[in-house]
Amino acid sequence: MRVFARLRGRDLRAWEEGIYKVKNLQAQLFSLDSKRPGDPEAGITAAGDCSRPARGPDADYIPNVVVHTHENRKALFYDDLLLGKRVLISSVSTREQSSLAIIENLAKVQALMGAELGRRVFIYSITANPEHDTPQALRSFAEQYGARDGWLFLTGEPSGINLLRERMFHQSDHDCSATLFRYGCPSYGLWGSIPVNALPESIVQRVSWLEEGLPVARHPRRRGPASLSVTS
Amino acid sequence: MLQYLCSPDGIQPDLLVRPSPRVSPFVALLNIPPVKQPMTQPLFPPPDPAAHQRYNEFSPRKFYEIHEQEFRWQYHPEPPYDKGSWAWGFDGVAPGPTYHARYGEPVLVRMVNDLPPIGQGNVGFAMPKTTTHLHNAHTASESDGFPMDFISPGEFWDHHYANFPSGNDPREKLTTLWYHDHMMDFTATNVYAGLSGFYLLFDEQDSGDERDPSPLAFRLPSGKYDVPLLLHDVLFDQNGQCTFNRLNTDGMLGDQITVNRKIQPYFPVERRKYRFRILNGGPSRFYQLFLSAGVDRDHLHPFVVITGDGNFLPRPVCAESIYLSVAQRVDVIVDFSEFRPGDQLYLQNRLEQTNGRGPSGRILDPGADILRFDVIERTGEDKSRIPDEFRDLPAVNPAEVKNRRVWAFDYRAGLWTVNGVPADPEMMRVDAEIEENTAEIWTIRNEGKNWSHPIHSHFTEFLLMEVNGRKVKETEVQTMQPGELRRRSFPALAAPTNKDRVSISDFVCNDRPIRVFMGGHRRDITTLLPNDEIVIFMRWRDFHGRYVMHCHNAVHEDHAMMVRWDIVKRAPAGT
Repeated sequence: MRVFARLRGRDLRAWEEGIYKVKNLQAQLFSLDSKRPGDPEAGITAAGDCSRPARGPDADYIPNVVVHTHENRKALFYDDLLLGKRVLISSVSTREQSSLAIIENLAKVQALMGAELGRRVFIYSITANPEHDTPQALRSFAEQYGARDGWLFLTGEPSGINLLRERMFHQSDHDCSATLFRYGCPSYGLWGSIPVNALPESIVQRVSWLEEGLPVARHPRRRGPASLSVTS
Repeated sequence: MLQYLCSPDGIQPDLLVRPSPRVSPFVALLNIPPVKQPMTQPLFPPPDPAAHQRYNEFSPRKFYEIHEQEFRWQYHPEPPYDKGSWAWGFDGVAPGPTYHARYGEPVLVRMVNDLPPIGQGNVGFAMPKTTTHLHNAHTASESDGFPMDFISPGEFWDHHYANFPSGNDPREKLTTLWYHDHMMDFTATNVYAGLSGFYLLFDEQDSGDERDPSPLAFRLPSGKYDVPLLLHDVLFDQNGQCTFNRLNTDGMLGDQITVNRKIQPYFPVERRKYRFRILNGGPSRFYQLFLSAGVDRDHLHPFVVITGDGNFLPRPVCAESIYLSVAQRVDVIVDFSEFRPGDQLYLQNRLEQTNGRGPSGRILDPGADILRFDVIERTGEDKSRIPDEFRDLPAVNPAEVKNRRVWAFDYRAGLWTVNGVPADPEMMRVDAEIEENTAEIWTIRNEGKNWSHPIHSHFTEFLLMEVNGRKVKETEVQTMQPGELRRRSFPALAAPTNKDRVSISDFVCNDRPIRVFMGGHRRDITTLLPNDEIVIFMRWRDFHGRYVMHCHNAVHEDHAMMVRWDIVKRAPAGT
């Protein structure tokens, strides 16, 4: 029980420090929507920015790290890129051959997505290699695969990006970043997973499951089962 | 609250980092779900007979309509739970109402999804698209709750439960079943949110009447003395709301073990026999249950185990503890007549589990109290009994075997896999075609050294043939030594006291109970502990169509540890 108490205490202190940091960060950063390519750096690196988002159902789990998009914008991952959006999240590296198949599949996925991409639906590809994948490198990569508005490649200070990937894709010593996409509505804490080699149509279907529905009709309608061609 | 003997590696489990608010134990009264009542008026619109296999042959005698809903559920009367936690359930209760069904009495259940659409509800981590599986009924494919046969808010699905045993063989009859959501990618969250309940099947033997004068009747404890106990471990936030970390694919552990969705309840019991139907509702925790008494919980009282996963054992067995992997059930008889009014007994879990992958095997002492029984005086004569013999099990018949298959459960590069591949996201890939009216022998293998998988194949029960190379007889049960993750001994059920008798005698628990009951010869969950290899025999008959087999650690299931198999018509001769 001593171990348990020590862990809790250390964790609580980390959160308190995180809350302090995020308040400072938010005072200095612009939101994604207000940033433009070429904006001066905010003057703060993301080193150690395991900041706790101010709100949201996963605010105590998903770090609010500063990320750089391939358009060289800065954003707080949780507050700016997750809340209020439907997202598909992947982990990629411009230097790993295995990532190319993932990127190619995402290119097919974005081709099937309509005008919602970039408005309510976003695809995020977080680099697994933040030491080398600069925003410039990711930009050429994005251009190579024809990334539309709404498909963002993300990098940043390595410790922050690695923490982010750990939280999104790691369990203990297992790393599912090469095999799973996460899809979800972060505002509600709703998350699912689908293999990266799933058909693009299946991936688009999963994202479509996340659409906010209309109020339920008074009289329910029959969904199934469908009539069989032969009955006994 | 659970305790740990050691600190787990890597990211700390959520229940360590953010434990649920503590409350006083044994303040909440045990919740008993109501019995579901059939419709008194015809369903509108009426069911479509053409949508169901063998509908006219098994024409429904009763019709039910049940609604999946969101509501506030009080897990405990103390703050912060007192104002209610947002939950999902059926007809306003969690667990859902209990069905009382009978063999020979087909029913139709209309499942209506009245859940709020995404963005309009309060249970954010669950998916308001649902498909309900009646685990492990002998049900036609279209009524089985196939993972992609889902309904959205405002829609309904008709489930036809024919309520006849496989092959019309009375030895195939089941007793304690449960229904739960089976939505693709979201079974764990949806069941965790509250979409589960009991479905009990009765017949002329297990008649549900302890005063039944029929010589066939088992006369097991019935009515208010027949109590379902559904275990779910839940993690709450500081406001008393259920939380679920969907980004942890190892599994989901809660630190408040709920019984019928109440935290550590108490239950007054009369000095007489009770039948408890205990179900591990998941999503990821395994249990080893004890019945103990005393301040230090050092006085153990044995269970009389009569079923495993809804299958009557040929004969009862006396057990010191019961091992339940996810979705496993046991029916037990506990006789409180030897206790005095004012005595208290505790249903406990003593199995350590520090992550979602499976139990450590270590036994916690004194363990976690789940439920307290408060003994009170009897209000009437106890007419129930424990027969020392139930019904025979169907036999393995090698002549029926048409095929042998191997299913290897593994973890590869971050995916839970079966035979090296994840489930097809559309569930269109057919992993096995099984010819109707045949039997097959399956080898269920755990390739993992550090995790456990409760494997469930729909539609039909299995007969256990081998565990790690050791053949298992029909009259043997599985057990293991405390602290191990390996089954090494298979004690035989006690022989009937009088084989030539005309009537059945009463069972008496001897003074040497088995240490751990892990199941009998016939079940529907194959508990794969690390490196296990288990061989089972199964028959498929009566219906055609698509079904699934999957890990019932529902988080593993949601991360693709599932296959589809189809029952197909026999190939014409000469083809």
